[in-house]
Amino acid sequence: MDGHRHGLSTLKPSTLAPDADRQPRPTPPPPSPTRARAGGRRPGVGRVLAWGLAAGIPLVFLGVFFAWPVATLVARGFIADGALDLSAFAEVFARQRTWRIIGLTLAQAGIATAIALLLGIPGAYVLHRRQFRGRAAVRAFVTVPFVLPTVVVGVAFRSLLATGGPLDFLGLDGTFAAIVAALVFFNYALVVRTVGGLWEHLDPRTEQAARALGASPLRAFASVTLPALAPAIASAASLVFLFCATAFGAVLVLGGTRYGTIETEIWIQTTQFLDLRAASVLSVVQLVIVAAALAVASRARRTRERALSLSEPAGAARPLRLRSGVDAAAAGVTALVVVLIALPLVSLVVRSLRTPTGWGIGNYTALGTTGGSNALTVTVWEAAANSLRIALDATVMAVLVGGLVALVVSRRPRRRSARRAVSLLDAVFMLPLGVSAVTVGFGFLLTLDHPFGLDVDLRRSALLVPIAQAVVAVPLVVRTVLPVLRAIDPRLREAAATLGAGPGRVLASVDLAMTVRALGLAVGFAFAVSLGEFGATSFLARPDRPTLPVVIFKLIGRPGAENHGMALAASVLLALVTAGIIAVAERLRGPAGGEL
Amino acid sequence: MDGLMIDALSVRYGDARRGAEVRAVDGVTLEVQRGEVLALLGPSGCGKSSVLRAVAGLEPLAAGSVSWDGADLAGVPVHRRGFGLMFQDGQLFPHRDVAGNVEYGLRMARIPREQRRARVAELLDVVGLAGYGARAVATLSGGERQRVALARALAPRPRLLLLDEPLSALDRALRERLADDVRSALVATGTTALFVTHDHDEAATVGDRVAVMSAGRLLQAAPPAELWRRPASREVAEFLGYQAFVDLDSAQGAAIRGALGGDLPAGVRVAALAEGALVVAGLVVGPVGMSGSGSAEAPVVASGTVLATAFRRGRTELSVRVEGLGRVTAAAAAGAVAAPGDEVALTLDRKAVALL
Repeated sequence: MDGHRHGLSTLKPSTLAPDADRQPRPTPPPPSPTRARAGGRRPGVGRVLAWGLAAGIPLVFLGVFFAWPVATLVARGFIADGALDLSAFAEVFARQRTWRIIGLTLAQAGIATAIALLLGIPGAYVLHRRQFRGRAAVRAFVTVPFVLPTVVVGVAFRSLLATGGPLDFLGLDGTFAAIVAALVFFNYALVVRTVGGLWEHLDPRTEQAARALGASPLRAFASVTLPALAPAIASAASLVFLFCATAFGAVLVLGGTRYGTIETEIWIQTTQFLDLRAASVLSVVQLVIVAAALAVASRARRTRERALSLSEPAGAARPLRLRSGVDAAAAGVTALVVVLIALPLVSLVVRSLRTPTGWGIGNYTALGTTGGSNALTVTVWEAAANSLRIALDATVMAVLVGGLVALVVSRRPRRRSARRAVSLLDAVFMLPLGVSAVTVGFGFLLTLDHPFGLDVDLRRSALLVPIAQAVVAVPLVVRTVLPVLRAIDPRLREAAATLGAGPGRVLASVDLAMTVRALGLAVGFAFAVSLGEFGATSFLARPDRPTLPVVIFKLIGRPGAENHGMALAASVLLALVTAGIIAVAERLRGPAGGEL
Repeated sequence: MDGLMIDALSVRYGDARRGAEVRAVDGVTLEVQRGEVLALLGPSGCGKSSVLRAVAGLEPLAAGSVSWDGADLAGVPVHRRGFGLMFQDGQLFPHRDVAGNVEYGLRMARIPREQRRARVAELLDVVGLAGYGARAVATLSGGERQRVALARALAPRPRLLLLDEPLSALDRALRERLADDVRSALVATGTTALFVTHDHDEAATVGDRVAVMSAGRLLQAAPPAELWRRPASREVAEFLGYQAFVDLDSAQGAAIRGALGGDLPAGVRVAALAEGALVVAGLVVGPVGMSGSGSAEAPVVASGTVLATAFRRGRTELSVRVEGLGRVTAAAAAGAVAAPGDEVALTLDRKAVALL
């Protein structure tokens, strides 16, 4: 789930700017004023074949690279020597360590979700319901953590809290509080965007009506506005909980040996203790938690969509007035959050400029080396190049597969059997939405050694890491593109057809033309996710072809101020590239919606 | 035959096997001659839009056939039929500007750019939006959007234009003005059209003929004047806005029969009165006779009690309870004044009476 955090929740109406794009002009053959041609076939074989292919490609991809590994993983937990055997469960659950990890996971996620909501709702009010100078800049700034790779966030928090850091005196390094703080840091923007997105579309006249009926401002908020926001709050809470419960990179960096989540525990059991059965059992537990959080999230999403369709486009936000108690309190909380978000980021950049011999760019020039006492097998620059190449492959796969999923699932065919097939596919394709990256990586390790009895070891293929990253990024692509496709009025396609556009041209000139921005956004998200992906990659990256996050994690695990400085510099590099890509993608968003 | 022929058309929704089937259209036979504008009139949910969608090829036929110039259209996909379709809410492409919308069909027909440009300008002129080509769709008002949608549908010179309640989403004044404009645009371009509406005034304004549908069946198709003069049934008359029905053989009918004059067509038994068919001539004075201004041309035909008065479009309308007819809307003759509770004498406006 590590990779999933690169999405920003906004709830803009899905209308596209009219200047979006133009179809390429076809070369003009002789004019034919009457378009009607006699005859014609019932759209049959070709169409069925095309849609079969559109559904088949993602089915096969996700079947081989998601369903099969996960099924194998689950089977490992339940079956030993060909028979149902629950002894592994009994054994793993008899360990105190297991219960401690499950408790920690739920506690971390629960507390972090609660704090993110407490801070995020005032933030949503200030940043989406009130107008002030610099609002756009503050909005952009608070979303930066959400798109940062988790390893980078871990390193940034350590640079702040660990020995020598500006907040060393707090003694928070390696504590539960530090992990919770990092999780809140990540997910604050998710709450602000989800809740604020609905809030700005709420019709203020409903609350005004309550006031006119005699409700005090507080009463009006509690009895009118809060219930209206409830679906967005529930949706944000379940997503934040999901992200926190599946946090991997940041927890691994910050938690040390004492704290962890089920995700980090799967990784430790696999790579340190080589206890694959225990890891399988934990993966099953993780799947249950993820499924529960997803079920709550999708329920909340459905009510939110209903609520949204009811709301009128709200008028311009009112200016922020610090004289009013409510505004002042909300603005105060938000200002504090801004400072707290800035701290680790500033600390990361500042400390990356501090070398053992004083201030300078020594850590950055060292990126061309393999680190102190050859900590690495390749230079950081080489790792960065690996990352970019892998991200490119992963993005192509994720956008292709995710785009096809969104296309197929968005259809509403007339025939009952076809409609049933689509809703079945919908359910099947939604399964990996909550995929835990560590589970994918671990599953790949289990299954891709001589898959299906073939004499190939896919584990050594250069495509393995991109494939795993694509599996992690597909849900994000679907979530970005599907709502936009679904928002297209089917009659728009009918209008195009009556104007003479065949099925293919309808697809190109209506569906594709109206989704092109969302697709651009999806490309950006997928690329950023892939660049920062650590959960699956940490299992699968070959030692001679590590990615940037893998290299960073390795560097901070090695002794020596030189390696540590390089880790900081590499983190700054990764953060800049990721943030840059997201910034470009966000510009593409325009008024195009999408769920994230 | 020339033009559109709809023969015993049926359209069904839902699943027959599960008993959840709805017969939206049930055996409708209808033709539209080339160059003719046929208005398909009916209450919402009567299946008129389903007829339209079936003709466009957007709904499968459960039974019957749709043909053009004698050639059956079964198996001809939507985009090959050459039928334009205009929706109630326009369905303009939001990612294209006004010109981009209008020229869409021309692109699909692979018309060269110069010709496209000329045709777009011509069409925008026809719908009264000359010079709007570069405007973004989002900046248009509701009426302007419908004009663009009309231009877009007309641009590729469709053999037949299907209009699905194109004016229903607009406010009344605009609707009435646009109905005239649609009519003149269709006539100016010589377009054959099937115009669906639930508004009988609109149907009469736009259509050369009006076809009335109810509950999936076609009740009557006739030119507006004939339709209003001789509705085929009480159901049609009710839908056309006739308010009260008087049996001409009854005691009450006698007065009305007298007012209508002597020569009634054979078989007529019932007079249908539209709103305003009864005109308040004045107050009933005293218990015995009626006064007011009945005359030889317009004798007093009934009396009633005024329930309420209303002022509509600058004229007074009275809601009057008439024994045997119930509550009817009566017009007020010039100078007639009445207040709720008054007994009034009513004369007949022959032009607002239909014979059944």
